[in-house]
Amino acid sequence: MDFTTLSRIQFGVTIGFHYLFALTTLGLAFYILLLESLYYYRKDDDFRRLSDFLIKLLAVVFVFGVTTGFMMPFAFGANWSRFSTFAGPVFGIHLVVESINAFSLEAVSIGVLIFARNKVSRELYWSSALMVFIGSHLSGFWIVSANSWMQTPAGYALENGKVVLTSLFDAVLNPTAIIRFVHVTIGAWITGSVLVAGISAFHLLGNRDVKLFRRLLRLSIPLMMVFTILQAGLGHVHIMKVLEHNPEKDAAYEGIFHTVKGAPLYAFGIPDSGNEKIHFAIGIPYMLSFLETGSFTAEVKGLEEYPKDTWPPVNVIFTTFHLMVMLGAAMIAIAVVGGYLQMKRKLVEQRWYLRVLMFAIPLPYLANELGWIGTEMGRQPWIIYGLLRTDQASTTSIPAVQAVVSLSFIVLLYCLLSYLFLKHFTAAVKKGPAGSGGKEVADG
Amino acid sequence: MDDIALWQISAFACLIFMMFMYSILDGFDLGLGVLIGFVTENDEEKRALLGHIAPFWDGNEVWLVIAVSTLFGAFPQAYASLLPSFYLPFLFIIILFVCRAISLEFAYYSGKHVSKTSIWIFSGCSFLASFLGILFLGVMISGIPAGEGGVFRIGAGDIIRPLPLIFATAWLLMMLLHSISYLTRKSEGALRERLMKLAKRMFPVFIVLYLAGIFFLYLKSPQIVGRPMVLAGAAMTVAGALSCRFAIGSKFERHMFAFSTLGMGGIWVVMAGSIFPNIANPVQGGGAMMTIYDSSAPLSTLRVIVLSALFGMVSILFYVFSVYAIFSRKDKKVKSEVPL
Repeated sequence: MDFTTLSRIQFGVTIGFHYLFALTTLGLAFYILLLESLYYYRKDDDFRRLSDFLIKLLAVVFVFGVTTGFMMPFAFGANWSRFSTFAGPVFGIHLVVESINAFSLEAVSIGVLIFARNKVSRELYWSSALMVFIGSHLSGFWIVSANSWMQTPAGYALENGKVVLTSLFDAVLNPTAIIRFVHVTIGAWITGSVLVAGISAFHLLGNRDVKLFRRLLRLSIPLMMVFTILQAGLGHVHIMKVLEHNPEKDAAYEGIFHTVKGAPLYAFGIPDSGNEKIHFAIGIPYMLSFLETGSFTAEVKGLEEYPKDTWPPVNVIFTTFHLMVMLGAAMIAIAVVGGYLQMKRKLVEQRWYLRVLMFAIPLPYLANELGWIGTEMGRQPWIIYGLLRTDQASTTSIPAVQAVVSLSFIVLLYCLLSYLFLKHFTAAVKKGPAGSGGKEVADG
Repeated sequence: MDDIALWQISAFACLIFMMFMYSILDGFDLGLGVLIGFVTENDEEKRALLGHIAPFWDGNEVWLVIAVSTLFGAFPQAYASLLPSFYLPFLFIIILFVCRAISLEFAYYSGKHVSKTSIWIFSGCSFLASFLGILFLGVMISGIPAGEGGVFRIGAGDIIRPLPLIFATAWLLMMLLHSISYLTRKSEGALRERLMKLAKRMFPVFIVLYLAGIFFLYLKSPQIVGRPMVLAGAAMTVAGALSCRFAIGSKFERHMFAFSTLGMGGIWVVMAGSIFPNIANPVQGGGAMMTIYDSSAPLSTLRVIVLSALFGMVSILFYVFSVYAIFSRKDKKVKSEVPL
């Protein structure tokens, strides 16, 4: 394998691993702010105990998130030096602002959240929960905006073979930045709600702190319902943007090889880019035309309209996209069933449902990762859509064997980290909220 | 203010300031990490030291993260040449930082009996990460050879040389002195005695090595040592270290942290003075130069970066001071730091 391919795998592994923690951080930051606000207004100690419990989980996640985040800026300079030289003048701004004005806020305030409930006033403590929420989400915004700029570049000009910033506003709020950020954020909040619901279900199944976790679960199910259904709509808005700006990617998502009138919406199939067809296709006739244009018989452009050397790897992105959609549908179903049970006041009694919730924890992670893989692979062969090809972006001076070494080390390290994380995190989950606030909690 | 050179110099100054802040803040927890392996005698002392690091290390590392991203944003070409030049060693340093953070968590939360393995990993990683990092700074002063296509190329021969090794050892000692001076206000009893004794012993070694480093630099490139900034920085460091030494046992003992901060500041003045306007010095006898002027981003980008760095640094300083102030308060009621 050449250095470029190895670097792609390495970047995929590092950011894919980091993404798991980033999602959890955003999801938990949302919950903690919610619980702290409830505690602030209602002065009900249950909310404080639950918040303390989630803060402890966040503390574990945050350490792994920060440390796995170090790898990314390294990769930009080391593995992708031609990309950095070419795009640094725009892409670098995102990273600078992210680290200076967002990550810093989060990293400093989280210390107060984790260690200083007893040292500060209620107002200040609530503000630190707000700061962690704002810091982590702003950080997410800048990173997603940077990624979005690679998909739909704007606000730049080309001078001497390099990018020059012409409008900060256009570059930051490039055509797909906002919708991508909202889609990713809701994805993270879904992750948070499914994780928290799953953890609550785990404790309810073991009859531990039943009163507390019933409350947490009854809070989570409606959130899960709202977020998952909202996400389906947002997904549609997002894909319309993709259609507008990266049409060949959209055609690959939907598996449309040939331009047709009245295109079907595939729910399942195995794409074959050699023969330009979808095997075992199951779909709804005319539906794609309707979704994309509002008319059942309108024309939908297929991949054949674009030069074959600019096609993304259709098989991968068709499959990841469809799996993501299926997982999304499954989560909507789980949330709706939960909503029904909650309405009937049978949530805690239905043990089978609690078991489903527990085993649903990996679903949002999978869905987010699949969506992300589809987005990035769908950008290929470009690293910056229409501007720079991936094979022209990697470093030329490092021998491939060094990338083999670095990739092996990273994979080994991440296996070790996964083991340590799971051990540490599950221990914290199992321990539950009791004892989290010292004596008072034991009495309560 | 449209003169691009002014913005380039400002970006360079921001970078140096960020690295200075990093060395002051994370310097003390890296130094503590090194010390914890061999100055503590029981679990209680270990836990006390860990308690000084756990709430702050991530906030302290922010300064390194912002320095790295500012280097990327303001000098993309320099960033893209420096990182590949040292590919595997840099990766190794990052892995050390990762292991350091994780082992700290495990040591801190290991309960009454502090996990010995975690402490050893934490201490070893703290030592290696800081030593290798400082060694790289030494190499930037003593000279990096240019490879093909304007990319730097560092071989083992460029690192295992007297100048970088002497500088790295001396600066590491300064960092340890800095950690000890932070602890003078925080620790008590036998541990404090031991730390003070250690500081007294380290001091002469530091002074000899540091002056030897400056002397070697003079032999190699007299014009660098002749620069007023380098001389001033060296004087600051020596003055800072001397005041630290003589503060021990005197009424100025509680100001030791200010003195060691002066010493650490001097190191960055030397660093900036000896490389400016280069990003890293070329090796003697030529080689491609990379200055801040020819590796910077265009003006439109530099403006955004310098302004956001200035604004951001002021706000970060504000948070950092507030958080340190919060943590120096006494608890209102029971301690919340119950191990998981």
